[in-house]
Amino acid sequence: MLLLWAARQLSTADFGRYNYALAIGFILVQLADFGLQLLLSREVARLGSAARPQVLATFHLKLWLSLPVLLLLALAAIGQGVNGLVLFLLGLTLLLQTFVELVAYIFRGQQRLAVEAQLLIWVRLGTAVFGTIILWQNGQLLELALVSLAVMVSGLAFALWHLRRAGWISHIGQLWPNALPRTAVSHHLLQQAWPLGLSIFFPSLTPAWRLCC
Amino acid sequence: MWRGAEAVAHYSAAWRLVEPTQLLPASLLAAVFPAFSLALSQDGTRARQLGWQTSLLLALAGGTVTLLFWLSAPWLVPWLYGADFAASVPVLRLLGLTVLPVYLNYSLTHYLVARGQQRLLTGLTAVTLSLHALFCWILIPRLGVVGPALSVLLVESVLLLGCLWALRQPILWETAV
Repeated sequence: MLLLWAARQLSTADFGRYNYALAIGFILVQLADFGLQLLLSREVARLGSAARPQVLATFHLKLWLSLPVLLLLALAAIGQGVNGLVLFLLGLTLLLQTFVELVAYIFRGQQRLAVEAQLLIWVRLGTAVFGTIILWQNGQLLELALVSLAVMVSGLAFALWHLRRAGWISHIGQLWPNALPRTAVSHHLLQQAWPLGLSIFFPSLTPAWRLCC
Repeated sequence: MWRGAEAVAHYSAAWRLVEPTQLLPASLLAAVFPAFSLALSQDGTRARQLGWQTSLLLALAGGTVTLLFWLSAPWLVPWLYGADFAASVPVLRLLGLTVLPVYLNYSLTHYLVARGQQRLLTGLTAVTLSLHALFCWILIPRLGVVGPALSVLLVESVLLLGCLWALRQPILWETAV
């Protein structure tokens, strides 16, 4: 809906830039997923609350994997002025979305699909409503990108609140890595995840893309 | 690339109708995947039963959607897009035929991950990607816009056979993290 509205409200060139930024962001953020979401969902389903070390290790791994994504986004944005800033902001939004999705996959593993639905509705409805308002008030591409980022930050805060409430973490600081991911759990997770990550990173026409949706 | 923007438009018009139907298996597998993973670690018979039920349900749903697209394509495409998109009708029929293997593959690929066979899945993905590129290379110059749709059908069928073969292999249980 937002895309249709954006096509009407933005200039053709701006709509093209919006789609270009989304496409670049979508490809790059796959590097930060690396197949970890589905793998973690499986481990949570199998191990229940005993999968807490895997949950923490996945967050740490994802934060490390986000570093090259941020670097690549910055490189793609440098020297392009406002358009570059839009590209970076939308890419960052999609990167944060992968963290919201990771939390959603944890609850999926617990078969608590209502929580997953809440998180996804928050993000998608929020982006659609606030994006439409911005476009309605003749906002430009930069405002649209900023609003999308703000909604995603709020969605991530909501997701982390759910994670804490469900007892997966005791405080948010636990999710922040304080060392390189060299633990046995991280190592094993990576070993399990890379084939899946490759399958997901293949172009979307290959059949395995369905695993990331 | 070989046929220009109009061919892309004809293909995309049909694809835009087929793509949303994939919401159904995605939603179903979101619910089934954790239950299947849990059952697999506790009760193999229950896991097998759940797997069969899910795949059967998806086969029925996929078969219905396939039939609907096959029958409705000749009037649905002109009604939605206008007479200029008549070339999309055979594309929609072919892409509609892919729905059945696609739905089944949704379940089978998830079972492979639940069984810890993601390396096999990566191999199958690499094979299907290569085949898709090869089929498109051969078929697009000969069949035009129908070529990639036929390629998707062939590739999804190959993946289906590959998944069925892989699921017959014993589980190596390398999955404990």
